[in-house]
Amino acid sequence: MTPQPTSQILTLEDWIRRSLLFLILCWLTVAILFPIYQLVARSFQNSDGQWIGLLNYLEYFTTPSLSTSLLNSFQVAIASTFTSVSIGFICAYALTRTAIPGKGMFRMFFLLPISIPSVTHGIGLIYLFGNQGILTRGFFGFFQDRFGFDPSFNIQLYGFNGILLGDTLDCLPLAIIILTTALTIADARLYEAAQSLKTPNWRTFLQVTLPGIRYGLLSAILVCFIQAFTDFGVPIVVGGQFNVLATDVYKQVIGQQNFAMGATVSVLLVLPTLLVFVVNRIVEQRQIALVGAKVVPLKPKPNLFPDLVFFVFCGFISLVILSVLGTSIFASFVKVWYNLNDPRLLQFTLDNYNVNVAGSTGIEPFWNSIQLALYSAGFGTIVIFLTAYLVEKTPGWNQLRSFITFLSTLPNALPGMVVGLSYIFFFNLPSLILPFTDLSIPNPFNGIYTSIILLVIANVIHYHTVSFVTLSTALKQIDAEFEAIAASMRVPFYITLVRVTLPLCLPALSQTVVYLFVNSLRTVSALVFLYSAPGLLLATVAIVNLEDAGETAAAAAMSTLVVLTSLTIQGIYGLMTQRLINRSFGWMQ
Amino acid sequence: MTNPYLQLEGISKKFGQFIALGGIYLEIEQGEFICLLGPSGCGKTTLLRIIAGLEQQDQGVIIQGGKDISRLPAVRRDFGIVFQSYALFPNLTAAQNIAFGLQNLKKSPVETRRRTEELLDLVGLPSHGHHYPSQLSGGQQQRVALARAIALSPGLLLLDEPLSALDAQVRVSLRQEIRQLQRRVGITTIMVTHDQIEALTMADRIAVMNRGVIEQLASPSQVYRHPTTHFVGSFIGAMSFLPAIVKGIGWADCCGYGIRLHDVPVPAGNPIQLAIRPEDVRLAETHAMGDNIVKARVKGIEYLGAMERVTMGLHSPSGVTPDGKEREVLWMDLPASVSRDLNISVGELLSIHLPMDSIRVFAREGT
Amino acid sequence: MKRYQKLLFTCLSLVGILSTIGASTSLVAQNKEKITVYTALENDQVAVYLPMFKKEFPNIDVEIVRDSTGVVTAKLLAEKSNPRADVVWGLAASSLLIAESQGMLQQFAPKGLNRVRPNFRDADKVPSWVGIDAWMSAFCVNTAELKKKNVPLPTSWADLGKPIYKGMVVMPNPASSGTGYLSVAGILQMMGETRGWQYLDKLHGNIAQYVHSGSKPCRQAANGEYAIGISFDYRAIQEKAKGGPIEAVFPKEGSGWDIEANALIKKPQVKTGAKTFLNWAITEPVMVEYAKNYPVTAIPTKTAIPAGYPANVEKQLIKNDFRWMAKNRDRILKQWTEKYDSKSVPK
Repeated sequence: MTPQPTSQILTLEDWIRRSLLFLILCWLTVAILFPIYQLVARSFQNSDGQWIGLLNYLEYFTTPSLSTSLLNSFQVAIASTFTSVSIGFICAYALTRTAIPGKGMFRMFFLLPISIPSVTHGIGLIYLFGNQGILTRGFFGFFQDRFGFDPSFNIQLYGFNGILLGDTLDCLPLAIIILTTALTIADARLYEAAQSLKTPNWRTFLQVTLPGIRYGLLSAILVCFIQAFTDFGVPIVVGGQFNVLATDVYKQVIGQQNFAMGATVSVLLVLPTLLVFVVNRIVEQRQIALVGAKVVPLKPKPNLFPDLVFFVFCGFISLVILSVLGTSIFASFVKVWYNLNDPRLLQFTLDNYNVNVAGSTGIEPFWNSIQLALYSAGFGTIVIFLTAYLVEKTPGWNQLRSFITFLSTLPNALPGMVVGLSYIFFFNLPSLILPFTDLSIPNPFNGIYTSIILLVIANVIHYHTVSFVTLSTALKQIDAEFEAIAASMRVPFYITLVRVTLPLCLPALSQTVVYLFVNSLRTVSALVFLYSAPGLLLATVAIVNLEDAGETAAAAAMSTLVVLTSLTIQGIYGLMTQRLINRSFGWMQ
Repeated sequence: MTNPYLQLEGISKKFGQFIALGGIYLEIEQGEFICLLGPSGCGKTTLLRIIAGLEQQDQGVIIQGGKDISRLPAVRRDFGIVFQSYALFPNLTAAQNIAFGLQNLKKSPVETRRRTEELLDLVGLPSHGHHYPSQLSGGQQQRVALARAIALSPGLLLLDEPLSALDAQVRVSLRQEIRQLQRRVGITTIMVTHDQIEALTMADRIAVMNRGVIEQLASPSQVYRHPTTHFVGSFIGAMSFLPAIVKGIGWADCCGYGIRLHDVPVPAGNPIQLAIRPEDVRLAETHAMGDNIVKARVKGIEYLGAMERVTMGLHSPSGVTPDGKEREVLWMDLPASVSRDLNISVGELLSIHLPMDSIRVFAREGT
Repeated sequence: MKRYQKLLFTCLSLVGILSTIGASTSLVAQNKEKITVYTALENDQVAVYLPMFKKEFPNIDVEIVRDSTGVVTAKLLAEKSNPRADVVWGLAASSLLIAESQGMLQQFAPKGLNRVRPNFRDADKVPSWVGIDAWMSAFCVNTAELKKKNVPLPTSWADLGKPIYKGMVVMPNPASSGTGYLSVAGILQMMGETRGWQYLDKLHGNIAQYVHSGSKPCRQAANGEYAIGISFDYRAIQEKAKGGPIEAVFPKEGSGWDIEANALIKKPQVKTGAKTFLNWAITEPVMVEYAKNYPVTAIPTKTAIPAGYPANVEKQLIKNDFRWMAKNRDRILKQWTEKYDSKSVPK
């Protein structure tokens, strides 16, 4: 008998998994690749859809009112990155390398801005640093009256300064998370060695600490840069006449309905982001390699004077974060802010939260947002888990699986504005032209253009990468032999999935649900273009619109609702994970 | 003659350029316990996974119980498997783990419970059914894994380094338990291991593998006493190798000493290797001369408890080899009592007898 | 032991199921007739007017898309080939004229058209658009802030150009705000183009921010964020009524103005509900409501002029040519953007 080349017979289960995998491919292609293609194509067309090559780009760079924003974006992103990473480093250092008390509390405060829409930072800043801000007005004469000095100062909020402040707040938690991780994995033995060699502290810092976290530092810089470079919420509120790319896209598309120029500016927004994304991927892999090595964790020793300095610094940063949020919550209850100038006229009110009060859009957008966040969290978790599961656990089809992995991580490089705009372009197309032919078919996806489904898809794609990585990491940690064991017992894959894989992924699944919920609630950039469907006005978009109409107090009220909801959800999640899961899952020890 | 239960015919597998398996032929009888023994990277695990259908061979045919299963996926094959990592489902109790496959058979819950209890009894854990894996010791976990693997009474039990993750003591006791269990159930078993003691104590036959091929397939004593290749000799137990040249029928020259051998299948003038186990090396009278007597200088003495292993360097018969230059190494095991009486010390020159019956002859490659 | 695991599991799957159901119910079309109305009326006005319609015609489902004049105009034009709106309600006549020139409007004579003032409707017998009221530029001035800064109350356009108000004035961007455009167009018509642009240059020197809505400058003035906001009459009077130290100033030279008008969008199938809506939009009861907010309405009502307006409000309106405003909109906006919008660094 001569040996023959063989391949395994495919079972029904194999076909099911492969069909699902193929469906996932279609879904990601429709939800990512097609829209992005449309966006890029539109930047080479004029308003009537004729191909005009690079003329849009030429117009952009030769029109000063447009091209300044590119420079402005870089300026303010670099500055925000510098401040947030510097402050973030000190905070992360305090949390990991000093023995200050209250670390848990500080960490909670530092991470607070993650739950806050970036527009809300802007609103808080207006009430603190605007021309009638509490600080600008020196606490409205409070100190002047009692102690005879006036602490007022004006930082000229609107423009560069305001964006810098807001984006620093927005980026700070990201920097702190990354740098805390980097500082935690440092090896105590290096420091013991340095100490035994009597190395001075500053040299230990320069020669041991900094090199040890170099990848973490670089990663923090890159991540913060992307965040600040693409942020829309802060500049739209406090940007004043300081145009940046993200607000330009908005102005071109919403203000002037100039879609071609909007697409052009979007491409300019996405190019640097894509570059940074690629660099960051490389850096992250290096860092992961570092984590793999065995280290002895460092136990910081108390050291009175430096600890005191770090404590005061952390306290100050916490105070800033809390007062920006607190001020906008406070402002949402004040009837006429200007009357603060005369404390006797101060009146509190719930009007800003009210449905029928003049100027307010009512509470409906908030419920819309909650709905959207629920759908996005539900649908997103299911479909992203399925994607991660099929990629991790399907035998064979390696190329397709790695292509799906690539597609799944791509959205991290796509700013929300770009996702939103590309969705308008693609899903609003009345017909699609089949590639390589002149045949055109009615766009089968056009139907969802004005429905909430489009918003759900936009959110799921916008936050696809982090969820995907979380879930596939969880799946990777599950013993690969489980599938073999199940096969040996002739148990179909879906039973193993339900009885073993899903329960084991429960922590990651609930984390993903919360992540998608909070971010869907918080985001504005992807949705600001898509809300146009009647009755789909969302909370964060309403905040932008209210702010745009000068209804800052109502915007603050809406912000307060969003922030409180997102904090509540995270609080519940925290309780569930800490108390319930740890206590009742006997196997999770 | 009845057909063997499992037949592998020309199984080969490449990973890119790397040849993992280069044409494996193997026949296993019903109820036999076979060990695949070899260093890491020799292809033994790949072979096991191919038998299970978890990997697909590039070429070759597998016949199990008279049926060609070469192209069947794992779910359609008939085997139970135990991994080094135990691979117990951490969210299910021991009993639930064992019942995992049974439940899928649409048997009545009573029947499933009865079988589960039976299996827990069989592996000696009758009262541990409600424990989660994290609440069990390593040995207990592996027993549960074993019970789970045989729950469906498969025709073939595959064990992938099942004992490697355990403590030395647990390993010894579990080794026997597995063997007893296997005899009692009568299941055909293939175990992958890199531990020769495991293989020697447990297997009916050992397939010693190296670089993707089976170098020798034989009973443990055959493999130990009569290794057919240099690799097998050196991998299992200790063995000294000495270069020699064939001088005539049953006669060779080794570094100037005349050595009598049993029939050598090599013509005169060819280089060969002489191999001998340390326990077969004998101490001769101090001034003894003649065939199979060599001089060697003591380089070191290793205390092994009941034994002492003397490492020696072969000395030239002309006596011209300067001290420290004796390059060819020879080991000799002496019972501790004997060596105590002899009081051998490092640097001493000894006369050594290499019994003709104990010498194995291998071809010498390269040189 | 497993209870919590099940609980958590149930919660998760519930979220999944809910999301599926929710998504599908939102797809199910209601059998009521649904019309889409684009409007640039103020939120707070829509909140009063619209319930009247809903009460009278509960079978018509009205979906309001509200945005600033510039945005609604741009949206309308962008959707030219595939319009989503059925009706435009309360959009600047100068904007509707552009839509008309693009052939987007369906001529329609709503019931009661004969009562509409002739200069408040399209001159054609079956008009393309019918006005409801007029709105005009006005300043919102925070008197307390002025006192603090020790500058007098500006009473005219000329005053606003004086250097003493440097950095105190906020103005809507004419590209996105109807109020912004009628102010700029008003200045250019009052002063003539050459002197008008010279004046705008001077004004630009005093501007702290150009914002995107006509209401925002007024609210910013009310909040004291900036002392003076160039806004429109209704907003100025509303903010004053709230009780802040706000003065509504109608500039001596006169105010640029525009008509808020309605129109039917040309579509392959015009819904009857759309016509019902347009008929309703000029009926007496709703006209009375318009009149509570604006002193000049398309159909005169007996409603008293809202408090805060000058007694002879019609004299405040400059001589205005809507056709000129519409025809030159693109050119003026382009020139304006080039001159002032690139001012990127604040002060």
